[in-house]
Amino acid sequence: MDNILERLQPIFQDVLDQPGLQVSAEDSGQTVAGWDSLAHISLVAAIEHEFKVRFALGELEELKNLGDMIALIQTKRTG
Amino acid sequence: MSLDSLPFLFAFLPISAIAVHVLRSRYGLAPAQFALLGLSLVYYAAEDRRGLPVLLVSILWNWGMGMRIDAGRSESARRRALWIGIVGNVLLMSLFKYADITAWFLRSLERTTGLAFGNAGLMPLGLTFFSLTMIMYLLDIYERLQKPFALPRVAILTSFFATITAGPLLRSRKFASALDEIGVEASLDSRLLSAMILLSIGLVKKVVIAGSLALLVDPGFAHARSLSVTEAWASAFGWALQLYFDFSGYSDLACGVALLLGLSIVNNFNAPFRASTLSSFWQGWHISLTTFITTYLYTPLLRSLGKPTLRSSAISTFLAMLLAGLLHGATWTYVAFYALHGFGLATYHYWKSLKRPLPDVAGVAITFVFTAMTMVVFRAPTLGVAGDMFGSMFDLSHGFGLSTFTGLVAGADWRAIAVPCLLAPWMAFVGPTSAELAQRQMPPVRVFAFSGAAILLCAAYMISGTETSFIYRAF
Repeated sequence: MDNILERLQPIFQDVLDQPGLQVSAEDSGQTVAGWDSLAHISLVAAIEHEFKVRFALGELEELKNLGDMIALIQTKRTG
Repeated sequence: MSLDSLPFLFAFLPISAIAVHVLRSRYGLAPAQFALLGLSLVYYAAEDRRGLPVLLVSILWNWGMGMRIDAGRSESARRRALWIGIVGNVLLMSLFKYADITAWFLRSLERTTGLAFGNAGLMPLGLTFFSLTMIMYLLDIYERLQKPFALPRVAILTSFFATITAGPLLRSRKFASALDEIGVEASLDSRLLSAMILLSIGLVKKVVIAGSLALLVDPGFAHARSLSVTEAWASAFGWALQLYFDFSGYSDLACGVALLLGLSIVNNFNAPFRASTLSSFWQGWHISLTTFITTYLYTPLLRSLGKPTLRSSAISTFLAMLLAGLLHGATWTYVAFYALHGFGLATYHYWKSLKRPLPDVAGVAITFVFTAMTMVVFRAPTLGVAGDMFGSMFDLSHGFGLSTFTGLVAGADWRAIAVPCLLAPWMAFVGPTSAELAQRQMPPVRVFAFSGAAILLCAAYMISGTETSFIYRAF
């Protein structure tokens, strides 16, 4: 999980254009400035590219926070 | 017998809740679920007997197509079955929403074949809500997030009486797990208290506040051209609040009814008028529809345009909202409303990219004023009437008096109107939300006293005839 979180840091910094940003598993659109619907889809696209996974449309709405994203990435990679 | 009617609240709902809980505790889950299905069909027949065949067609169609998608041996077969299933649902909606085109088609068919086809008739109750719920069900099966349901479960998902009139749209996966917990005794006490709070707040919002605001708003829109600037803005703001309290009140009722049966369903509103951006407004307004638009219209459009950029997002946002407008019905005012919001959202994304955030107060004010102005378009029967209202709002030669207003609502009791009109902005902008109140741990005595008083107050309004029909019922 920590490894996934580490790999997510540069993605969030790049997509949200905030070089010093450090996100944690509890973070969500409510707590991170700029994480709105456009940023969410951009993040998803970047994560899919980085981890070589593909999220189903129906899964996207359940990614409410970073912890959910990490858990789903883990499931996809092990499944 | 809508959710806010006396026969529903004092007869149908208590009987349903007792039947479901007794069946669950004495005979198990399946009889309780079958009772829920039977009650839902009885409710639908009582509300819209003519629409019942359409509901049954939808149930059978989506049950069949769900199995067909799942049975597809190749990806292309699954995809083909999905599209056939979706097109079937869209056609069913279009048949009634685009009644003029349907009538033209039927007359052409009659001329060609010599047979008589009659007319499609009025919009069946909840057509949009159960069709969109079913489209999501089919998509979940296609994406392998959900196995097909047995026919009775598809029927409950489609016809559940708490949500059939106005949503929220149900996710089949979540609804299925909630359905397996109906009437579970362990959590009954806390659910009962939350349900009572949601039911009483929903009723007050819908019957007292929205109903009272309608006494001002209806005559205002009926005389849009002759209003003063003050009256026109009051009508516009009053309508925005009326729509919010009407719709969110009904959603609270739906959540409360479901909870009383032991089912948890998603909240469809989260203080949208406190949003400081248009994007966050939509995250709090008709949340289940926003989720549908974002997930199944906006995201595929954005993905199809390659790497997400500001430009591709603006195009996707505008197109997704335009499609949502067409989904609402064959009226230019709906299309214009959603197109304006598409444009507004695209503008917000551009503004955000400039990294010059506004103070929250300014953001809330701009978002509310923009939303209220677009809702004028949504409310007006034609774009011409909307133009008349905007004329009165911005033409300073109309003056700032209240003479038209006081004359128009002369027959109404101002005392009955004034309190809810003052209460509405407080509840919309400042006070605790119904979901927050429902989650608070309050002593049962206080909950029952509050609920009892609220329900009696609403009953008095209903008996006195202040109640108005539910606005979103038309969709």
